[in-house]
Amino acid sequence: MNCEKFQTVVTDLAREQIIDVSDRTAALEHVEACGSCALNLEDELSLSLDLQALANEVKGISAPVSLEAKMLAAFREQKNAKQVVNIASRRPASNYWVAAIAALMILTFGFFILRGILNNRRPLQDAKLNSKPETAPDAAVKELKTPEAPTTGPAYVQAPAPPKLRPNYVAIKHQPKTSASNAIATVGTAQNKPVSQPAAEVATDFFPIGFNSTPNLQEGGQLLRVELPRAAVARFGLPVNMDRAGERVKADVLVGADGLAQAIRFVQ
Amino acid sequence: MLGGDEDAFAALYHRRQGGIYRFALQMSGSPALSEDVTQEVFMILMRDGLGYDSTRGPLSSFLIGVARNLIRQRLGREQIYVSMEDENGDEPVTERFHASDSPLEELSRGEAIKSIRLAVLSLPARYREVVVLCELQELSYAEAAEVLDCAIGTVRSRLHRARAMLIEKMRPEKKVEAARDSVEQARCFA
Repeated sequence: MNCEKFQTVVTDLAREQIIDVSDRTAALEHVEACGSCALNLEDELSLSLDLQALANEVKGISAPVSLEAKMLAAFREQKNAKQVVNIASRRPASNYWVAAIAALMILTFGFFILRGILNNRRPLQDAKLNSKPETAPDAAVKELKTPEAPTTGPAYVQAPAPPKLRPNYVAIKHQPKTSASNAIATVGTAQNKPVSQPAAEVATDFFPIGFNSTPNLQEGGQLLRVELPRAAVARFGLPVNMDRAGERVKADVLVGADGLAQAIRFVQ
Repeated sequence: MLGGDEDAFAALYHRRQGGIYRFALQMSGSPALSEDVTQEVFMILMRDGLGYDSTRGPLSSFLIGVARNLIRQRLGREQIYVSMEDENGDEPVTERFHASDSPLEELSRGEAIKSIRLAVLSLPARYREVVVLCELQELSYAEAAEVLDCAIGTVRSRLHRARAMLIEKMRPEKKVEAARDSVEQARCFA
């Protein structure tokens, strides 16, 4: 064994750790031959004794007694707090219905919005395909910009107006107010054009959704037709034939400019 | 304990608080900081006891590991170490637990322990923690490696280096003690 190798075992030797027998023998033989390594081992042994003495000095030391009382009090407080949280987190199952309905409505809105966007694009593309080349580029652009005033040039397929942020309020036929005060009398449109419902449909009053008692459509909104499970009707206090709870029912949802549902009415 | 059993928590506290407190004390030299760290360790255990994974090691290693992280944060903000004297500035903490002996021996032992204590506290943190864990807390290399989240070889090499540093620090004191002893002996024969 050389000095370098001795350094790898001297710590374990001084700390009386388990080391390989051959290494121990070789180390002890080396110490007899090498003065500096012998001094090194002596220093290591002395250090081990000092550290042992230091360890023994603090063995009896523990945290102050007052800390135990603090910890137990904190534990009780934590336990009580957890019990309160557990009680509060037991929500009625009906809340899951509301969450499910909200999720379904969001998906439906997204579907209709996407369909509206795609429908608006398709006629414009058709118009481009059908346009004859002799029309001036400026005129063609002008035609596309003003679809309500088609020129004498190409046959023009009138596209529905693209969705806007301030649209298209959709007028709703005036509903007589009920004692529940859930009805929304009228939402005006820019053109004051009432929506014509199919004659066979019957609709309920609008029920507000969320925390607002009345919808705010001053910045615009849309009326969307959706389909929901019939059981959703019960969430708004209407009677439901449970035999038909699995069937679907149509509903109109008032969506504000912020994209959030403001009110809903059910249509039959 | 996680189920809210207060007796279980009390038993756990009694069993573990001493080791955590002593580790913090040996790392920081401050009884106040050690008490804060001990309290915080058990608060963390209460709040986030499910963070302990028994497959990764024993609870003692987990708790010491948490204490180690807290101490590193605190020492990073405050003084490197504080003298382990009583809060009132009276006798040092360790003196309370020392069995009285002849005055000279008591003084010598006290001086030696004080010297080694100060030497340990003056080590850089990464060397101090291996000395505290392996030498003072008497953990094995494997247990220390779990606490420090490093390889066993790293623990061994750091401990070897730390001990070499301690020997260097202690060497001047030992020379002074040897010189003092020789002077006293001469006095005895005067």
